[in-house]
Amino acid sequence: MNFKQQDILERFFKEETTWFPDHFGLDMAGYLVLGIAALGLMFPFQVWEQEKTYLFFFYFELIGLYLLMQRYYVIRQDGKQTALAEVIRFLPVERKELAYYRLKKLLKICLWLTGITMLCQVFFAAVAMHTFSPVNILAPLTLCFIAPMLLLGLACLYRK
Amino acid sequence: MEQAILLFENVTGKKSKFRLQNINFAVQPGYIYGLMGANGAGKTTLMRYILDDTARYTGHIYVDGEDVHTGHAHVMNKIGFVSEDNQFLVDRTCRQNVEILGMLYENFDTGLFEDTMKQLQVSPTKTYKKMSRGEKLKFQLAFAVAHHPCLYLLDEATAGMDPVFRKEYFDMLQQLIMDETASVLMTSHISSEMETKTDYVGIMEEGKLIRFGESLDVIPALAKEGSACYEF
Repeated sequence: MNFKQQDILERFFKEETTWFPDHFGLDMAGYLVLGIAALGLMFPFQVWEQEKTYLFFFYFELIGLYLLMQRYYVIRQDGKQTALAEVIRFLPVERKELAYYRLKKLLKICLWLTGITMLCQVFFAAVAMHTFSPVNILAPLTLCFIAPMLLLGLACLYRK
Repeated sequence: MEQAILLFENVTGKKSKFRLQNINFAVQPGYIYGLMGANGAGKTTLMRYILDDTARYTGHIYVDGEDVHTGHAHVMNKIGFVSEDNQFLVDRTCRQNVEILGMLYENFDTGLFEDTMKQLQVSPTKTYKKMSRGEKLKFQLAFAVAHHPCLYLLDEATAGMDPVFRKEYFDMLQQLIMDETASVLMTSHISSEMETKTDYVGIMEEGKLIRFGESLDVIPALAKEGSACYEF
């Protein structure tokens, strides 16, 4: 990873707000959907009778993450959506550095989500239900970190 | 002999059914080079090979002594690209484009950009999408100048433009190569322009560089042969 390029990209995304109105909408929608998913995933798995419910929240989580990551992929100008990669195609930005940057952003959100859901699961299971299972740790780890990092992380590396 | 600013060594490659075949040439500092050829001859593809780090080919392309595959960012800092295909933030003014996109360069000189825009008589406060084609190309040239590249690539930059625009454009290019640290490689269909404004010219046909030499020798010879490249 080239730290200089990462720093440049950080400043670039901070400065560039061409897509702000869209971006604001996407962020709001992303946080809302992710919030719903996080709420569901915070409750100990023992609360949910069916595994399907858990998968439903996981699905919501993926949508939320996808929406939050959109600002690093597309820009909307003149009423049209353009791939960010097209705009910076002939500029001095390494494709792999942009991919690492996106991955870094995804990792940050996933780590937060995993931490919060894991703590809440353990806390609620222990305090409210007087029980504990390793699944209270493994479920958040799998659904909030490993699975999204695998699914959306691959998109970070290969999507234009 | 000075190090070539751009060097093509046995470059052969295929890109979406189009094939470039065994391209060899060198661009020396302080000169304007032209590439001519009918539509589909491979001029733009050749430029894309320089600019696109994912292009697959055999042989080597060096910009200022560095293989273009060694690092896209590093190479793009040395290249100023002017083309209609070049994308900018269309809802933003030229100045805003420079503030945002200029930061991606290692050595972007905003003052130089402003001076060049002034010289080319284009307002930096104009929104990119509201500019005429000529203004966009002038802005692109000013943007390119501001990051001090050693190689300017101009893809059909003067096509369809009036003589006044062309004169201003070429005057600027002459200024850029004057200190012999940079050179220009441009494509054009206008053979009269190539003959008078470029120092060397390469003729492309079906992905091959069939002729390369001094413009004053190559273009009159083409005219004599009645080549399809010689149209204007």
